[in-house]
Amino acid sequence: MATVTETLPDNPFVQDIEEELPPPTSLVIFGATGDLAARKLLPAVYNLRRGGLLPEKFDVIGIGRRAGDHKRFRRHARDSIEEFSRTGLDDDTWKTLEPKLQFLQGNFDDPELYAELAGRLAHLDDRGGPRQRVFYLAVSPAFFGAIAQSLAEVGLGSDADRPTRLMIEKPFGHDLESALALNEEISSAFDESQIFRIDHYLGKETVQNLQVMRFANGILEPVWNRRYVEHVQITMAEELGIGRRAGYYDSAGAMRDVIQNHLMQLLSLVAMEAPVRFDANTIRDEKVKLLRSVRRYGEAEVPDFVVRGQYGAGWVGGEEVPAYVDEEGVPDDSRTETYVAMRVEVDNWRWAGTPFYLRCGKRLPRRVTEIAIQFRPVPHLPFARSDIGEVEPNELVLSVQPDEGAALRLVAKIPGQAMYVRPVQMEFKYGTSFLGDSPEAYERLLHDALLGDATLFTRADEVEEEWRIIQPILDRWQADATGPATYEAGSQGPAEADQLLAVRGRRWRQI
Amino acid sequence: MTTAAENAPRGREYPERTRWMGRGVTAADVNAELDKLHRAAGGPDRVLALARTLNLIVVPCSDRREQGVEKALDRLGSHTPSRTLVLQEHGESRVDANLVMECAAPTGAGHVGLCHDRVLLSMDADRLEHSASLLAPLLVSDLPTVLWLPEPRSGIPDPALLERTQYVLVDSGPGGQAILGRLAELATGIRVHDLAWGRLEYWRAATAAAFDQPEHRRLLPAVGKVRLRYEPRGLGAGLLLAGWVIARAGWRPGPLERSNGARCVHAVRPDGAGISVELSEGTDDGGCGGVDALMFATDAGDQVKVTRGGATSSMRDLFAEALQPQPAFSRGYGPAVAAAAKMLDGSS
Repeated sequence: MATVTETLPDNPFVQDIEEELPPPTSLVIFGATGDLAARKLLPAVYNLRRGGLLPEKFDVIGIGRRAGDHKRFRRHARDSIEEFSRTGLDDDTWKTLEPKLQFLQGNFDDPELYAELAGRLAHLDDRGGPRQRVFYLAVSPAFFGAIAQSLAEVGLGSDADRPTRLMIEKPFGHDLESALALNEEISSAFDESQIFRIDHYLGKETVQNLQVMRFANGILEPVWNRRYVEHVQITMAEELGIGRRAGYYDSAGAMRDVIQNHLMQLLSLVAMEAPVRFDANTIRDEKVKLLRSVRRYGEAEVPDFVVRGQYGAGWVGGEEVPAYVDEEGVPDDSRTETYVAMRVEVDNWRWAGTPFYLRCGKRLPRRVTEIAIQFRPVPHLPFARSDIGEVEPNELVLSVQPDEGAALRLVAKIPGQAMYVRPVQMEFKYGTSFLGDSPEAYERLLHDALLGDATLFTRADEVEEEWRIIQPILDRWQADATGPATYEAGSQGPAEADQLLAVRGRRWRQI
Repeated sequence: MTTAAENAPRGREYPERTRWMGRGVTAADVNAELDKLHRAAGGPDRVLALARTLNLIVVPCSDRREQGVEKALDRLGSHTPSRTLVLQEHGESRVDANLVMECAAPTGAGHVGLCHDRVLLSMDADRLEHSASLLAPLLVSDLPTVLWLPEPRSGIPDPALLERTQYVLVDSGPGGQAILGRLAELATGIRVHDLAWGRLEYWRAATAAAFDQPEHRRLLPAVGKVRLRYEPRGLGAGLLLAGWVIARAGWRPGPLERSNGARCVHAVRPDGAGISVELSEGTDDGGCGGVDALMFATDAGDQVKVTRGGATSSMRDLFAEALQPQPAFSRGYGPAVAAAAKMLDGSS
């Protein structure tokens, strides 16, 4: 018998849709009653529905360990959306989303949970054809491997007969060894192309704009290298302490919590070569290439290139705040770092000799994330007088938060008879040039994952390279008899950090 | 000429407004006064800057419409254009100007407060016909310019305004069927951003989603009937959506006819078969873009239903979106409005 292959006509209506529509999807959220789901995921699902960015056939199965039912889960979802959605809650939209939410209670290590889940997913498929499946693990990383394996065991992993994706949140391991083990464990259940590792920083508008700034503005490319850039500072400062995260934070510290992921990602986006195409693997290949060219320090070199600190008591934002070791849940003798400053050398043709300084910390004077590109000074000042004022080198500052934008520092003459100069800023701020609100990072990332676009997600080899850079530092700290330097809460960080830059007049930008 | 500063009621997004009024003014006078307002607003303890978003020209704006325009602009908050220039006709042979500068105070040390200008220019019909020359020096340079026609039926007094404009903003909204022909003509020369098109976004996305399913897509070549139910006063929206469906499906529209209390268009499929597109008025005024239901049926009786859901964005959001130049928004609008106009052309 001859086989007749049916040719489906194209969908003529899709061409006018502004945003691509994901295919029919069943989204499974592990940890659906937890904090991340309440604050970020459920509001993101709601806003995607509100914006018409979800397919008609779209259901959410929320899995939680606490007892519950559909009704309670829906109430929880509604409360979360009302409290955390950037757009509030609209009844019409909620009415279309509410019946799509269902709850499944169970322990993540219980095989029956996965059998029941497989049944539910099959039932959804029965109501209108096979759908892609997206599993979002909003749970402790300790469960990542077990959940991935359990899903695979009931045929929901790499052997699945339809597009299937696994979304996981950082931290991806506690050190290089555990990261390699986690990658191996997950990759035995899911193919790398199915795994979407979220670093929510990559979903931020300004971080995406970094690539547009670099690769769509011809004026920047000629100066984006060692010849013109003196050094680069990448800062992520917070005025907050650790809040109620002592349990996690004290075992992680600033190096694992921020440098290993967010700042390494920013570093790779700032310093990588131009990708030939804007697609997931091409961009991630360039990022990995850059991370591989970051110099690995030997343990003996660590003190020369890395400074760690821990906040003491002080004043932040007009409030007196306790020292880190006096925070609830933190052991008195904790040596966990809440501040890291490090000098990174990128050994490639573009950047050799131009250092990148990374800095992050808690209980600093204000919340700011920025990338500052400091250019080399002019070789010769042609003015007759030498005391004309501050001739500071040009600096391009890309602000990620809170005031998203970019500013270029130039030097200008102060109006008047005499020749005096001072630095002035050419500024672009999102709020002044664009109208409208940006979508939340999680909306963008969830939508991308539903579409199967991994551009803004971290690949296994990126994670591993990031760990390879910081592992010698962690090892040295582990072996050190001394702990981190103490800095006063509300200050600029430990004085030792200033020594890292103290050559050629370099100094940290004021936080 | 008078200048006045006032504090708006508590809770307003832009608490500070400074005004100036002048009679018999020139563009240079207006520019000079705007400059003075800007200089006076800043101070040693506050840094202010004019937003660098876009220019909005509103034309022509009758007394009847003025309040509606004011209301729409007031609701925009941070979406307010850098400079809004509202043109109005009056009986005097001169130009009168009413300037308002709104500034949001800086929110903290080192922050910059944003300012927006609103300029109401009243002039006689002759000057209105040459208003592009008056506006040229008043536009903030290097910014996109949007032309808002709150009363598209009235036409554009000076065609040269279109040369200064990146796109035209209209709302064919309720009762909009009367202007679809005119908008179709306009859309051939310039990008038209129709708020009614934005309200139909849900229906366009839902239709695309419905036909993204293989079992539905294979029915499309065999569709023989389309039923569209529009909300009361939603005929214009219904026609626009029907026009889009017909245009994108590759059907040829016929004239709109009345039959048994409903309206019907006999369209033709590429294979020559006829399709009846029926538009009937519903009773549910639920605010879903003017449309209540959309259904496709094949001759064999298979159906694809697109039901209402989601929510039409608020007027503020729609208007704000309209001011943000998004080229993709108007994709499909030209063919849709052209098909709708064709249906109306020669309709009974």
